[in-house]
Amino acid sequence: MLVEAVYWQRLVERTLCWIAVCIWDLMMIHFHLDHCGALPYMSEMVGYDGPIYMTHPTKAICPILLEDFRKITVDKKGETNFFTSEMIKTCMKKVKAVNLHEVIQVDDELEIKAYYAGHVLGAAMFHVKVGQQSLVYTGDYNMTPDRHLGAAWIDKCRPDLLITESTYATTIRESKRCRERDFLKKVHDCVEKGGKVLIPVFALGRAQELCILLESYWERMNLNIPIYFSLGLTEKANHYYKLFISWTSQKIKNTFVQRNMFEFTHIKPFDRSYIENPGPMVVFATPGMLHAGLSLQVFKKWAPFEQNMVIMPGYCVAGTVGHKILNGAKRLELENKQTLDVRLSVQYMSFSAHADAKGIMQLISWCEPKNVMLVHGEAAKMDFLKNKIQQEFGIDCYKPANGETVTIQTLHNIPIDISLNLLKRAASFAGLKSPDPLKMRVLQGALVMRGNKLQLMDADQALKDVGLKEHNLRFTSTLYVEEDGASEKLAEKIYTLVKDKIKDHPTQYSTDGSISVSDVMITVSGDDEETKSVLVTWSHQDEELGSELMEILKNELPVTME
Amino acid sequence: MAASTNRNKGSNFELTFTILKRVVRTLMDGKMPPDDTIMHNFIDCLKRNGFSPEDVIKTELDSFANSVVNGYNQYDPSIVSFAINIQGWLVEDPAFYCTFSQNVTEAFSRVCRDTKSGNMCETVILTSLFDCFIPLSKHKGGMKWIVHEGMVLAGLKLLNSCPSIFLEKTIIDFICCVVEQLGCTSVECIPIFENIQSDLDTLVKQKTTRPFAAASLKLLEKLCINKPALQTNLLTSHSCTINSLFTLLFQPYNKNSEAVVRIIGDVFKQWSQNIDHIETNIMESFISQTENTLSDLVTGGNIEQAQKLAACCLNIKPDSKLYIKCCQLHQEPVYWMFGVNKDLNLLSEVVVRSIMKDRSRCISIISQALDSNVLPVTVVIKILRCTLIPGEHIDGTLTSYVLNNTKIQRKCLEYLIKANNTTITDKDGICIKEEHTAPVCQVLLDLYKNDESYSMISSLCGELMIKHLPYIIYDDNMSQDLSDIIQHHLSAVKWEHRDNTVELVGKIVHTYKDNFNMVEWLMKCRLPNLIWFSLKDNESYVRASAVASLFMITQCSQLFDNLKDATSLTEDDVLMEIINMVKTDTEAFARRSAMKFLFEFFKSKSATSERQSLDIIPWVVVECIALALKDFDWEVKIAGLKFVLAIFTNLILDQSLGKDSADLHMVESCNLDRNLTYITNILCYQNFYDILIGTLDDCDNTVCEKSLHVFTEIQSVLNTLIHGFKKSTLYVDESCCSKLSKEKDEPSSYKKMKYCNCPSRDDNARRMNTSLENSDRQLYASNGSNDNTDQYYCDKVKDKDSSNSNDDVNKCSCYNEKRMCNNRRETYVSDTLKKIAHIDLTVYKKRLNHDEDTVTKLLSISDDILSYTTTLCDGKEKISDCY
Repeated sequence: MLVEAVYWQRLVERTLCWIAVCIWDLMMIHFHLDHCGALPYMSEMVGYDGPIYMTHPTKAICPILLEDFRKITVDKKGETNFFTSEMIKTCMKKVKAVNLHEVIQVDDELEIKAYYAGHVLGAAMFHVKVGQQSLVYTGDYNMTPDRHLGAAWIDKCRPDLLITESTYATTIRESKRCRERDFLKKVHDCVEKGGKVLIPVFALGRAQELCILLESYWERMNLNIPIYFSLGLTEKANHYYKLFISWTSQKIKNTFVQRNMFEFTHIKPFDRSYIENPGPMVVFATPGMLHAGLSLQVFKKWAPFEQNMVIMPGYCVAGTVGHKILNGAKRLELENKQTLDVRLSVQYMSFSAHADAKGIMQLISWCEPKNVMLVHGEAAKMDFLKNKIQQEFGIDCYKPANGETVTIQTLHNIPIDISLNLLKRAASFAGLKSPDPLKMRVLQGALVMRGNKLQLMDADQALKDVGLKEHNLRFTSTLYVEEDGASEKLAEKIYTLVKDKIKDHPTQYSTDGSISVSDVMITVSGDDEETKSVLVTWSHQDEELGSELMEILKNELPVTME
Repeated sequence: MAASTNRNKGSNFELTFTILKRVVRTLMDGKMPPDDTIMHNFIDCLKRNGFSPEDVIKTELDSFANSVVNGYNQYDPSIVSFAINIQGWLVEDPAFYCTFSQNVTEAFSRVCRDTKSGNMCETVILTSLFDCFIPLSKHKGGMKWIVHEGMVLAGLKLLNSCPSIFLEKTIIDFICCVVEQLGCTSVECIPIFENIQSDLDTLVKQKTTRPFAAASLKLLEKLCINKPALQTNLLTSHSCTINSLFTLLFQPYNKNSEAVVRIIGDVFKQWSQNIDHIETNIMESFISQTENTLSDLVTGGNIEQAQKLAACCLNIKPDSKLYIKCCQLHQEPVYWMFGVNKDLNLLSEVVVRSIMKDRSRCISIISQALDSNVLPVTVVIKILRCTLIPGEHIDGTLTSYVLNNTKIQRKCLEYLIKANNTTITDKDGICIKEEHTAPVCQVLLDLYKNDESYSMISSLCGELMIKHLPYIIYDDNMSQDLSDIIQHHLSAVKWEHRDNTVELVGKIVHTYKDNFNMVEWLMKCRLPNLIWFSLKDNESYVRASAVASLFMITQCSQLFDNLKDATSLTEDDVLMEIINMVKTDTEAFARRSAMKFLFEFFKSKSATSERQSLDIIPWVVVECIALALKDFDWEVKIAGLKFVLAIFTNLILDQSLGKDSADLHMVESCNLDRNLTYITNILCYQNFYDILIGTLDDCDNTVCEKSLHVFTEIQSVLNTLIHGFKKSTLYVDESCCSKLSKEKDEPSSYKKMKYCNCPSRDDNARRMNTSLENSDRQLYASNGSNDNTDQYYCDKVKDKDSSNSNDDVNKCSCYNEKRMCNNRRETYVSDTLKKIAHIDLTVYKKRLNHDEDTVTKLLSISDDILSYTTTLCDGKEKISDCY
């Protein structure tokens, strides 16, 4: 959650740069605010009027988070020039929802395609193709399935550039099962001793994952200690999880018919009056960094008691109460010079859903990019991963700093249509041999531009089409060879030599003594005792072959002069 | 000045020094938080803290910055960057500059030397360095030092091969600052323009282009835009630069040419605004150069580039040759494409035909022409129509390009909206004339019909349609069409369409509520009913819009009556529906809209009602406000508080809810009584008072702030009320509240006062009696009965003993009961008012100001930095990892 105005400005700055750099239209990767927080600002205040693409769940959930963001930013003061609820609505009206794997043709050249990214409900990676160049922007993704979401997946799209997050650039994360066991044990131990457990969460994402975890555990252990979640955001969030069930993990989808995992039986809505209730309980309350709202209110009441516990399941921005207690603060200064003794147990358990180093490498091996760019991570760790990628995949890897420009070379193929006649003729030259995909074959023809399309066609046909006469341009070169004997003898020698050296082209020895190698003609003349002249002539189409033959003759024959 | 105020904070300030020293030492040890946001916050906080130079020395911040910058290569770049930022702060303020400038510039010498020699290329450090030069250059001595050190040239050198856009931007800002300080004709600025020229020469020769504008062009743009003096200098003394700019336009269209067009465009703009700042002959030469460039671009077939240049020249005099040429350039290709006029003067047919073969070129040229606003309305209508149905006599290829093209549709609509807003114009064809109305309306209806269209298009369509609605409803066919379309859209699958339509209906009602024909049409189309049904829409945004539109309907008595008749509803039913929305809607957006409805509804009602405004707010609404004050959404709570404030302040002062000011002395004393009663009744209603007090302690700061404001206002109004009493001829020896509280202590005081011989006291007591009576009656009314006095007493009698037929006895008994009831209430009312009057708001004020206390904030951030850096060595999974 972004709580500081400065952070907000920087976020906008970064987003603006991103837009300015490479994007013609906006693709919102998922609903987290570090990805979509500046969207209404862009569309309603800066004046971006192009299309905005999101997956259906992101489009549904994004306004909730934006409202939350707005509240916090305005609430924290200092930010008067901020987007309004009405602006969020207007912005959301401009959003075009996309389905996974649906190719969206934005304009003639630009197309986009979304892939499942895990991480949070509706998160997507986007494959963007402009003409022949393409890139994949992963946003945040998770390569291991969790309680409620599946793993990210992408096909072998071989983009020119893969821009991947690298939050866990060097970490191989321990099994999530261990973390889950640990979490459940801590909660259970605390409530068994009569303590209260506070779990500050953001409305969407981890809250649902932990709810499923506790719900199934409570059922398994037959516990009847109340679990509450704060009404409002989470309730609506759960609604969206139910609505977009096809975006959740395979297990949830499979069991959906029997039982919807998001319909909790043990978890009940929370009311502020329950704060003072005696006895154990577990409470999920927003926001997740304990900087305002109900979670902070509950924390203030429960913090002075040793038997209670607070479990922080995610990152806390500096300056928040969450951050302070995670750093071991035992006494907090509250408003009006009051202090709060933090005696309850503070636990930190990361349920962050980012790909670890192994996951990042896996994604690279799946989509086979030609270049990789690392973003969203710490410089030193990114350096390590960069080297690892370069070594393992033999491709270039970049890790530009914010605002740094990177130039990446890509191949640009120009597609052309080829006339059938030309192909047939080329095939006839090659004989019955089937084409070898590993070997390049040269095809001669006239390149004709029609509008913005290119066509390679038979030169005669092209000339006929445009009503021009053919003019042949031939290159001629004469070699003088010191060789005794009849010229026929030298011609035979050349024929044998050429036949031996050039195997891909048909070579013929004519009755008049001339040798033809494809369209290249070699004629030998001269008396028996004299220096023989070898005339080599070829058209400009056979420039390559002609040059090769000249080299062979010069090297293999006693040439005196050229 | 701020320093002196901080001096008073004493021990807290000393604590700040100690902690800052610790922060400085930690950073000196090379420990830096991974999240640089905190360091930016730290500097911002330092700047706001009002330190004096002595304070800075005490904190050792200056010596830290100097030693880090001096030995910059021994530290992490982020620490060096932070230290340079500190130095930037130390030279910003004139008082600081005198104390620290020498040390700062000395510390910079090494890093500057390495920058010039190219040995220092860390972008983070360079960005901070040039950023720091900006405040430094604002001091005469600082500028002298910068020039002497050759940092302007170093900046220019870096600009040519800048790896970072942030560094590039900073250097450009720095150079602009230098030019601004020294003047563009100064000797020191000559290298700047030379460098720009040389860079432009290179750009002209370049065969390949980058996706960004060249740094030198960005610099030139920043130097020139909105600066007539610099533009004059450029035109008079840097003709080569101007030539290069025009030459760049012949390159394929890219960011460079965009920048060039902006520069040229601004020259024309400035010239059109202030014609004297450039000599006529120089400007003529510039115009001629522009004309030639346009001609050359057209000859070369580069129509898009020519159009872009032409668009920026449209600022000049409309009758000039260049202006006419620019208009032609936009009009001709479009006329030709859409068969308006096949005669080409400026362009050749071959060129236009070649454009027609390329979709993106075609769309670009049409869009440019629409943007330029030089096309006649008829042509724009034709283009818009072609986006809907294949046009006659129009090339099939072009039809395939423009059909359903959202971009063209949007440009056309924007053009028409602009034209619609223009009433008087000297440019032919720019405003919508009477003869255009029919085709415009028809094409709008056709466009609006499409429920697959992009939401933005239907929104623009609606906006334009409102203006032409009188015409549309005049035509039977169109009127029926529009009615069908609106009804169809109100049940569209996409919520965006439903919402746009509901909003449109609201706007129509708002605009034409006094237009008889329009109101008739709205009723004929059953639109009020449809809006009523939209209150149950699945999408909260639509529900919210429906509430807003319903409010508009309630403001038109005919429409509101129509709604009530058609749905067999009463006004109370409508209100109950809205109140239910506040109570039960799951979405805050809808609840906010419902609260706004209630507020606006009663505000307008109190403004128009002949009855006393305090009588018109039913208790069920008060109950609803109480619920809103406990809502989960902060803005619903704010809306509730706004309502409370309006009731308490304006009603007390006997004003309608909408009025801002009130003169208490003008208010009659009998009204004061009634109003006082009303307030107390609200406060006493269920636990309203507790809920209201609770908002002062709300978990949302903004709510606390608003609540504090509400209480301050209420206290002030109560004081005003008391003041009013004192000013009046009536005798009041104590404040109203203290009087009431006194009554609590002496239950019989009311009785005593009643029979007191003193006339003034008697008046006062009678007034209080009336007040309490009213209060009781109000409560009675809230239980479902009306507030008719006779009915009130009759009911009371019936309640007591329905079999008793003796009216006099009954009345007497009723009065006695009433008096007893009043005595009971008095205690509670006096308690409540006493509580409000005596709430110590300073506690809450302090709490809210706590966040703004910069010293506390600085301490908190310092703590965070220290805690970050101490956890850095932890081997476990980092907390900072888990975003």
